[in-house]
Amino acid sequence: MTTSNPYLPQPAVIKKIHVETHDTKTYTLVMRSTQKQGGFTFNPGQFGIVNVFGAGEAPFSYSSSPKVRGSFDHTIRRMGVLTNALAKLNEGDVVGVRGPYGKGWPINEAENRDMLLVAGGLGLPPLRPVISEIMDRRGSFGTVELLYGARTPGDLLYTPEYPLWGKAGVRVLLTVDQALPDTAWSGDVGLVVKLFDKMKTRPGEALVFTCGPEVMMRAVVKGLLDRGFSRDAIYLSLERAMKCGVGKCGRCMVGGRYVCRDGPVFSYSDLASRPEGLM
Amino acid sequence: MTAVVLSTKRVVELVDELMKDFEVVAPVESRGDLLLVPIDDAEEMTIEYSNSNVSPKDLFFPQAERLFEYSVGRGTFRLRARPERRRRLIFGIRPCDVAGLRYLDASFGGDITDPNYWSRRANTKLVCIACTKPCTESCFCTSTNTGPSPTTGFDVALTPLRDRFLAETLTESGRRILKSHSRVFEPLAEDDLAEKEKRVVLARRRFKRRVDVARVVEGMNHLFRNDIWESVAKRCLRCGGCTYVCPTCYCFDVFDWSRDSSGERLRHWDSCQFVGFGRRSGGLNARPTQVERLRQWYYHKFSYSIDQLGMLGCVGCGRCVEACIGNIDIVQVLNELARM
Amino acid sequence: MTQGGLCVKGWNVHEFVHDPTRLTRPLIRGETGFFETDWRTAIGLAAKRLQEIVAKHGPDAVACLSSSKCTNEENYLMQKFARCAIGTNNVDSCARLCHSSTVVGLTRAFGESAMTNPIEEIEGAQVVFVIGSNTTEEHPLIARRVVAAVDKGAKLLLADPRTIELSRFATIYARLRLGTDVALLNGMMSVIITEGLYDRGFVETRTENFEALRKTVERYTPELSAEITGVPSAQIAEMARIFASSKRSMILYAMGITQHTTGVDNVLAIASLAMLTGNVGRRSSGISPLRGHQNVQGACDMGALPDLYPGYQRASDSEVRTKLEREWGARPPEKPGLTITEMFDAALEGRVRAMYIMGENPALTDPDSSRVEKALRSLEFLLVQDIFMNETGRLAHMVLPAACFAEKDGTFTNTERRVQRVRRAVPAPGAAKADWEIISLLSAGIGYPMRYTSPKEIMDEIARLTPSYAGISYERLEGFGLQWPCSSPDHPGTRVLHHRRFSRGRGLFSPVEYEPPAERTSPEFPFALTTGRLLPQFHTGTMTRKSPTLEREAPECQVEINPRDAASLNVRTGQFVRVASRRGSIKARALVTDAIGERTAFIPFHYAEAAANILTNPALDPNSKIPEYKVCAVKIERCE
Repeated sequence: MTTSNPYLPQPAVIKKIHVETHDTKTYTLVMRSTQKQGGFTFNPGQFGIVNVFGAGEAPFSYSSSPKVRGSFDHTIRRMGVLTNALAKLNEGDVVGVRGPYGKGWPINEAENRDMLLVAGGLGLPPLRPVISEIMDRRGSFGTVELLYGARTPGDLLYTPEYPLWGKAGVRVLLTVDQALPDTAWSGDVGLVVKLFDKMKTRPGEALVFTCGPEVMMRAVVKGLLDRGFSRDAIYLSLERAMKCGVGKCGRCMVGGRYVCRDGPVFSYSDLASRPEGLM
Repeated sequence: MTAVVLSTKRVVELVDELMKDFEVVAPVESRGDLLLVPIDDAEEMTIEYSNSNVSPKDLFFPQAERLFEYSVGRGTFRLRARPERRRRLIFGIRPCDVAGLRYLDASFGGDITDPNYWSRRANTKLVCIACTKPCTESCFCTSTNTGPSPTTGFDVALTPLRDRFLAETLTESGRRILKSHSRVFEPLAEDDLAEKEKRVVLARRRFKRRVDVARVVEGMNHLFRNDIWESVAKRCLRCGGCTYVCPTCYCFDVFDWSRDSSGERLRHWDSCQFVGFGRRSGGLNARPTQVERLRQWYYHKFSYSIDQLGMLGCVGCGRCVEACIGNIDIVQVLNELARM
Repeated sequence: MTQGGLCVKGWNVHEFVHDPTRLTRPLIRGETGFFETDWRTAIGLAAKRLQEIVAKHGPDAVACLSSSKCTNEENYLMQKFARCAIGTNNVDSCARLCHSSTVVGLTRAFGESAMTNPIEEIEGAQVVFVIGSNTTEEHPLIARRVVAAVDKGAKLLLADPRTIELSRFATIYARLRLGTDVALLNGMMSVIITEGLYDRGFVETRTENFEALRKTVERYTPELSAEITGVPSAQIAEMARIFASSKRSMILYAMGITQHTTGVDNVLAIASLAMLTGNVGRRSSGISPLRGHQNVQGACDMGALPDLYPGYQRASDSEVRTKLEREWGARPPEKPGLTITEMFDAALEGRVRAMYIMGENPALTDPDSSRVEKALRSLEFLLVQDIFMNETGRLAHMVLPAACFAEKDGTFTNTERRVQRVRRAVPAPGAAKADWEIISLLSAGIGYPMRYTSPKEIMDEIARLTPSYAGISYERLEGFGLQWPCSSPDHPGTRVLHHRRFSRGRGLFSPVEYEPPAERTSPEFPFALTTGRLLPQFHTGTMTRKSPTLEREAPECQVEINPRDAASLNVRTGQFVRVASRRGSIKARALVTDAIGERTAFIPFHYAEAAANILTNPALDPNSKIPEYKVCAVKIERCE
């Protein structure tokens, strides 16, 4: 999609704000222009740029189902200038948006194959559209497992949806880094890679999509390679400092490619072949 | 290529005429500095010159510019972007800088194009003056194949012969310029083209600073973890000068200047050499030390650009050598890389 | 002279010039805040208030603070304003806080207190001794020369309590304890004398008081110096030998030397070291006090000092006063005035009731900020003139909008005594005026007209009254400027000072003893704190914090803490700590690094929200009245 001026954001209305955790909210946005609403579509794994005038812009993955026409979600944690400005907005307020940008997850490659989704913290939102798509045509895929870890039980995202995912044939394995003794958490404690011991997915025909802090993804990749998964079966979604989002400002370059334009999804074999890869 | 001749005595006359159709940007000497600036009078121009300290990229990609103005109202916002459309002509741009613009054309072009750059670029004609010798002690365009004589990227190229220039055109715009001002030009003499070739060869021989660029590019693949990056990075004082003066560097940062509910979104030059360039909210930095940052600059120019654009990211102008306050000489570094 | 290079501030400083928060109209403080007014009203009111205070309490109840960021012409007018329009010698500039030790020390030793050799000669030095200067971050373009010298084979000797970037290039890096410079220098000199490495010829024919020096430094054996400084004795001896081995040895120093209660002593020791080895008055030798602000040298040259007139002519000299009276039409007062730090004391005591502050931000730059703020608040009339509103402006009764360096004509004098033109490139925003115009208007309002149609005329007057500037005029400054002394219109300027004779005749050895800093560490305040600067920011950030790029490079205050101390404090990089001294406390993030020694900490002073000067000690060097920014005692605790 090439607009006449890629730097101009379009107005979008905050239709709904859903509080996920103490510092994270999901914003459902709708393009203000009904004409633009109808034409808006994205691929899972792509991202958009959300703009609050005066505070700036930042990139966020789309976290909703692409099938839902006219609206799209961003799940955003309050961390810096822009996200704090966003956190102060209400339903009905208008923000600027640009996008969709980037190359998304190669879901079509996964057809008739087993799928393993490994997410850490805010790495789950970019995978949620994948889950939606899988749920829509469950028959096209083999076994599907989601390994998801957050810092504490209170940081787990989309908790009401887990049973729905389970029912739709997505096996959900959860863990938290730490659980204080007085919380009602009876699940696993430890890093996401510990869940490899519990998962059923075997290398061979499986495709892996992973997203989370880079230090986590490095451990995930190592764990998978150790278990015999192959490099070109593993896909990662990278995050870098970003400004323009369209491959012009130079900031998000990794090993010569732009995360915003050639990614954010990269295969591990691709990344491993480049001198500058994971942080 | 159409070719005609321009007597040195008639250059001012030609520029005078060009000024009727274009805003002409030409080399002007100002208190010991050479600048490429718009002129009001053809006499301001100097034809005997080396090159400017800062590349002419700021004519297309200014150090600071407004992307748009905004005003936020109830339930919506209004944006106003005003692209520039002045018809300009750069008279006297050097071959290395022409190559620099070709690189910027590729970087700001592609599937999504940068409207600010292109509104200026599309409306600017380039009249290049070839070099007869190295412009400074630092330049090395024969090694990067971007000079001293231009082969592409210009509208009109002027090569100095003894008391005249050989004028050649590449583009339709170039041909039109020659045609509309034909009375200033003269037809070729019989051996003018041969004379030009001779002079180009002579000019090339005058370049003593050389780099085996092909070998460097080849070696980049296995030199990423080499110690050389640390020894070069220890001299880097993070001034950003190299990236600011470089004809092919294009990184920029964007920020808003706000006053209540209106303001402007600006962009200005940024540098991969700055600490904050790769820093995200939360403090994570993709390139935390000067070693990674300095290495990125070399890799972008001598490895990644070839992958991505099929072009070298360096035009051999040598300005970075003059600007570096840590006395880092790119030619020395490249030669060391080539030796490995 | 910068050879076409700039540091990161130079490439990005333009970002502040067009900042929309520039002051554009005169502001008067009312009940509910500042309101805009026109020049006529503002000047009228300011003149009235000043006249009232002078009438009731005498001219010495007014104090003027001139700016080392303003031009020579403006500094000249400010001191003229104080002396002629008001009638007081209470005029000073922030040079007091940075190089007053240099002025006192080098004047005593040599008779003249400026950098002796041109900057470019650093490249030709065989030995460069850098002490108390974080050159790559504070004077990057000078560091470029030092690196170039090292590339050409020069030896770099470095003494600094922090492992600064420049140490990567050092032949010997001596990490000395805070405030022990005299011990190090005396130790070096004792080796030079004991081993017979000193320049006998130079000492005999060009200096005096050598015996007194010998007797003092003899006691500072390398072992004793090592004990005091923490630098191994072998290193001290080796540094001494290397320094004495060349007749092209240069000494570069900055705040690490001057900003101590022993600042003058430190400078005297440096001067002695240079003279001892014959390293003054020849090419690529001498002493380089590195000046910070673009015109701090000029501010001093122009006499914005309480006891000195333009050209360092003494206020106590009645012949000088007569000469000035002839030109100025008013007799300048005799009694020396107050220095900056004394001005605030005087304000608190009610002796100074009005201040006129131009282009300075003492609320943030002066030591013991809460005392300074109290002093400023106690004034009956505080008039501030600046390009942006800042912490000092917010306390003022009136704020006048000034033009910045890109918006006016004038001259600056840099650290190598080079007077250069600064030219108007863009118009000043709104109704802002050049400082020289504002001072003239105010002076006229008080009844002492200053009739200049341009800064050029002001320089012509300066040249008439100042022997070292006598040959300087705008026509002659068209090229690369002129280095003073320039005593006549055909004098070419002076590259090297003290070439055949020192300005005072013979150079004077002034032996000094090691004295510890004023505030020692104690069980309650166990850390020695030193303060300083970072590369991307300039001073209080009035300009640089408005540049998004520069601000991004160094966005917040970080306290440097040694890893062992961090471990015992249970602190990691990024965590907040509270740093407290006897005077106040601040909160900032920790940066754990072994660039700083154990039981020592470093804080940059650019950040109003974590103002280092809340902690610093206003103890002064008794002679130069410079505050001891570089050492005070603090305690550090984890916050979160």
